[in-house]
Amino acid sequence: MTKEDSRLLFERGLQFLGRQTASQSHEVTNVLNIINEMAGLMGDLLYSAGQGRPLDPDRLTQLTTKIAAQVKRGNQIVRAINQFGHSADKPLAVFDVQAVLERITFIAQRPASLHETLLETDFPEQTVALENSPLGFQQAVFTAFEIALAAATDKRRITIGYRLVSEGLLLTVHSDDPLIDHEDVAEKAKFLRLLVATLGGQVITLLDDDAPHRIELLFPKQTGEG
Amino acid sequence: MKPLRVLIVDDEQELVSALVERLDLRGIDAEGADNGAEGLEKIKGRDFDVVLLDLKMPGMDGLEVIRRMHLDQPDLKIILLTGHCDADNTEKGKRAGAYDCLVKPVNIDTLLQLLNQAAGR
Repeated sequence: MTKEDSRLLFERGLQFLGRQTASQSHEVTNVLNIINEMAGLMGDLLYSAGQGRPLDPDRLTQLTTKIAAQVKRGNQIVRAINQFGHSADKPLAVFDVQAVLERITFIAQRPASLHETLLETDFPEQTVALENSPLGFQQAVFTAFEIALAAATDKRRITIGYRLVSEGLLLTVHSDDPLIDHEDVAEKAKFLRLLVATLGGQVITLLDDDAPHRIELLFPKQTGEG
Repeated sequence: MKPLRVLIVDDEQELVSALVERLDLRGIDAEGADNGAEGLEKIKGRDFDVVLLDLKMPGMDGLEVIRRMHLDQPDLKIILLTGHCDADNTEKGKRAGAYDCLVKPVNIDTLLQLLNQAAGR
């Protein structure tokens, strides 16, 4: 690996961590804003009741239920970003692939939604353990997702899946739309190849004319394999 | 005087419905839209005094919505209501034609004051 590659991997790793943290903290702010407006509305209704306007108890119940739902949503986001942050603790660890993919898919929901794209998962019944860099693995999956997202037209679907093959774990990102090899995507694809190689894996399919809808990444079950 | 007519465009539906109800309680005729396309549809042939608009939304972003709304109604007052009112976004918003930018969560009295000011009341 060249010095330039090392620098690029380091910078992109930090950017990935920072961007996802910023994006999820924005999601938490959205939740707090909703709770703020609902609490304000409850205050308004109680104030109006004090002025003689009838107060509907069911309306207050609805609002408390909605606030509870937002608190639950906020907790999910905070838990995901906390676990995501901790995934940088160890450069090498054994992790549950499905749990990690569920988390990165959860984090990717917002960019998918901004592109009006449905992001789905297609996981086997049994999860597998992988020994690798948890953060690097998530960055590879997210970069593949971004490449697919760049090509997705409105209201289309991207599916993230994986399966065990004899050589290791095959991760698949499938898009309804054929992937486009424009400048930004080409740069991301180049980086993905470097990242996956650094993780001891291989890019099997990426921007291939024969499989334009699919990205396939192969990771050894343990580093040192493959 | 006719009540102020306000359209709130934001993809957080729960936020929109709570804000609509809070403004209604203050005598403002408020309506909500969940995205830019719906917002554009709602202003057609209607005389809203002010639009409160989120910046980041699925599909069309807030800046694009401002441009398109102003094609239809050049004098419509549009206030960005977003978590992203930094110098860059405020500048971009004003260049696109936004009247002002407010950071969520906003104090309801501050919001009312700005709505009235934007509507020239």
